[in-house]
Amino acid sequence: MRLPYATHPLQLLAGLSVWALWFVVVYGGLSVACSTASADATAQRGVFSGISLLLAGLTLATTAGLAWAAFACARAASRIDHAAEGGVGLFIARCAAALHGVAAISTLFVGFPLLLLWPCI
Amino acid sequence: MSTSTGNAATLSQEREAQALHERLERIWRNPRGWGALAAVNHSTIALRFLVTGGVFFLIAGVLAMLLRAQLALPNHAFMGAEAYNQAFTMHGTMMMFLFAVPILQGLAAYLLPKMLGARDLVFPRLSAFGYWCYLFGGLIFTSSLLFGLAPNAGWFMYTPLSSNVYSPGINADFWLLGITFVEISTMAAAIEIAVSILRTRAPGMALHQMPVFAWAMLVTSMMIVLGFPPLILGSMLLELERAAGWVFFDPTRGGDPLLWAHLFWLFGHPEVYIVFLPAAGVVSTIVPVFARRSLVGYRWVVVSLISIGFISFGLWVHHMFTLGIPALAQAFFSAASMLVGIPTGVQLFAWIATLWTGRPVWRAPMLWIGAFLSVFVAGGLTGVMLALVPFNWQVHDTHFVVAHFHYVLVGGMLFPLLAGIYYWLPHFSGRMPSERLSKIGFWLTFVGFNGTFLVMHWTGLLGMPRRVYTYDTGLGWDLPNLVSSVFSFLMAFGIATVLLDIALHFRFGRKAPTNPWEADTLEWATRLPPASHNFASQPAIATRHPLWDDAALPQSIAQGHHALAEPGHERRETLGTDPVSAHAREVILLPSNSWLPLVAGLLLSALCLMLLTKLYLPALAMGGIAAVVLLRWSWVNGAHPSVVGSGDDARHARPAGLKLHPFTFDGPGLWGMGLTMMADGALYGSLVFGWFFLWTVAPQWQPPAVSPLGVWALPTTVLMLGLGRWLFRRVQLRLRAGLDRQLAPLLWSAALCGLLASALLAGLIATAPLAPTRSAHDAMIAFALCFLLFHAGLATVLAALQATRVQRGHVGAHAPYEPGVVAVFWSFTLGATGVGWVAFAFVPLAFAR
Repeated sequence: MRLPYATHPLQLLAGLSVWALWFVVVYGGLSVACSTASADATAQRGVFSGISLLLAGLTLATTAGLAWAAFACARAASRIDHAAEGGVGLFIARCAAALHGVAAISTLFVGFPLLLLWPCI
Repeated sequence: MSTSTGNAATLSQEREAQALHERLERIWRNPRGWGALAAVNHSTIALRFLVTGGVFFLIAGVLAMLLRAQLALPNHAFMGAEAYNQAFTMHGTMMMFLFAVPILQGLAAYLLPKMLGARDLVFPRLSAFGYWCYLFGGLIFTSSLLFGLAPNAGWFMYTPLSSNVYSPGINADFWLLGITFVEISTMAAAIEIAVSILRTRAPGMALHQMPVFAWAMLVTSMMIVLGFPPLILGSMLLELERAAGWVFFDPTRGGDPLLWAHLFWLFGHPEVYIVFLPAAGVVSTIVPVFARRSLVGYRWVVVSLISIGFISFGLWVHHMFTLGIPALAQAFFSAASMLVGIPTGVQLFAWIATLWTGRPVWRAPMLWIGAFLSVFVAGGLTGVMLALVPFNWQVHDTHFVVAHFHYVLVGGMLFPLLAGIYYWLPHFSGRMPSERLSKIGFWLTFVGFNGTFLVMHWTGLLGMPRRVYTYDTGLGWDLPNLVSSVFSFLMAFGIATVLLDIALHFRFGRKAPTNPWEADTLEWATRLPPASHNFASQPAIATRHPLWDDAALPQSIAQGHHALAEPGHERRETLGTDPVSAHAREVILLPSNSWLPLVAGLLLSALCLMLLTKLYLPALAMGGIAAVVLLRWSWVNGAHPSVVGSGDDARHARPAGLKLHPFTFDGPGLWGMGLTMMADGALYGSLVFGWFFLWTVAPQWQPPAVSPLGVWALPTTVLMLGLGRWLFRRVQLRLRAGLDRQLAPLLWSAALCGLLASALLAGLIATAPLAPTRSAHDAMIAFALCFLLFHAGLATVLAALQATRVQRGHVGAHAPYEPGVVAVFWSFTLGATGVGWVAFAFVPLAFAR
């Protein structure tokens, strides 16, 4: 599948905007879920509690989506005719590929503690 | 014979260039004498920012010396606890709000039009207004020192310490009102800089050809647009709590002090990068010039700047690790805090690689760059240490943290700023700095800084807390404190030497030749010092290194070989270009000198003082007068004859085919309004966050069983505003079709919709059973309703003004620009009211607990 508009300037913001949204959902979701969940029940299940599994699943899905977008932008960049296009589209596509990659790595890295720490403690 | 002909031709070209320069100067020059206060030219305003920022830096620096004098010896009686509290609060606040951000914005405001090939920033009157707000706000804030009433609760003003229970008197009010006033300036400059970068680059200067400094300022400005509003909201809420007794942070009545901490640090951590990124842009500009090669990894540097811009918003809780946040949430922020070091590291490697593969020349600016590289890396490494939660707990609120952030801020901001000032000094004076005195100043500062703060890491690890005015002997803190204090005075001598060097160079410095550092960027194509119009003609630029690729560019620009070289009118103009490709799209009309910014700034200062002295009724009247002046400002705008002139020339801009922007559908005002609404959205979003935060976390949060907002009032308001927005859409469609008919009736109808919406909101505020002094729940709702009423009221006035402008002929099919700008405001007001209905009325009903 090809990513439409790989050379659109909003691609420079898209990847890390998704990361920011993911961050808000994970941090806010954890806070809201912990305010309603029973702390004892959550603690007994540890990293396998429903909250952690849900957030970890969201993290993996977001990472996969961002990694795909990075790959798609890189592939689109490789198809751009530099001479015909003047260079700015190629620049945007390449930067967008890198920024989507940064967003994917950031999501995975910031979400990694979900595998190590119990929620709500 | 041929030599004689050549000389005559050259002489003739020089005469023509001088004649063109004089014609442009008549249009662009500042008034003389007292009239200079009405100047709006970006170079003049930016230099005022730089000088004023420098003065505030010196005052804050003297406060630092007082602090170090007090701490030099155990049980020292040089200062009492109260004076010490005021001194450290003022030192931190002034350095961050009155020095670091404004001086960097001033530098950017000076440089960017010249780097981008433009004649001015896009909103010159806003530049001037921002400066007056900065100056007057800074003076009001600093005057508190003279009265012995300076804020004393620390630069982050934590509640409940800053509440009127624990901080009675007006000390904290000086902070909340004075700094919020100054923030008007910061926001105005950020919006103007971002729009200028996007819309006034030289033709052909596409995104991939843009100077890195412009990238850095674009990212920084967007960070300010989104990062400052949470603090502005927090300051408004805290001032309301202190002055009117509304509850937001008092846990006994449903508030939570943690909300203040979140709002402050939502601003506070991005702030660190807001002052670092412009400095990084300065470094990326200077290093290639002295390495005699292009920057290694331009694209990766841009990717790093954008990455930092985002990731720096995910770190704020690392300032709150000891405030009782769950471990997993802390781990997210700990990970993000370590992560942000990677894009910073990418830039460092790019600079090192540029130096490594180039042929570096070590002149005065490069000394400061070297200091930056070493000191900032050290500060970054201790930052990674502090990102680790257990270590952070150990050293929290100790002098280790003080040492860390001085390494980051002095290393990452002050040293690059001084590199930049030395580098661009020929621009300000037309003269070169002294190599000898600059070296003495540098080494005194560098050794003094490290002697002060390297040792302070040790003091902190030995357990000395910050913000404590004295200590007992025998704790192991005596020697390191004495060493820090002695070296801090050495640093002060260093800064004094730098200032002396700068002052002397205006008199004794060698005359600067054209492009004295053999730089690549366009600001060196101007005269030194530059003319008020920057460029006699605006060149097309299709490279990142215009002066390396065409050394004759300064001459061809001066001789008028490029665009807009024929000022056959009295208008100030610059080319407007596409934000991505930089193709020329229109000619942007810039307003000339005006007293309106100064008058508006003075009126708002009076308003600020009245709020400070609790004269609320006069303050209301003053707010009304200020609003009238601001509306008058908005009236003398767009296609108003006093702006565009009259006759045929008004509608035909040069070069052929390009219109003046009021006669198009696009222009800087549209972009400015868009960014303003982003900032407004960030403020309102912070309020909605606060609402849900208190609902989730505050222990005494007690919503009533039935919503105080009723069922129909808010949805009807949304309906009215939606109808008004639809009418604006009809107006826009008619203008697109080139039709003049029925524009005024449609706009008057929109104004009527706004009026009805305002009446509904006012009625709701008057009749809803809200007790904002007893319950945080009610206070949040009351504040939100006031926010929405303000917007609905303003939307009404703006629609009515548009209708009047149509009737006066300033808006119509020939000048279709303005309704689109106002429509953006209407869209925001409609969206905010819809979100308010859902968040404050609908969700609580659906999820009542």
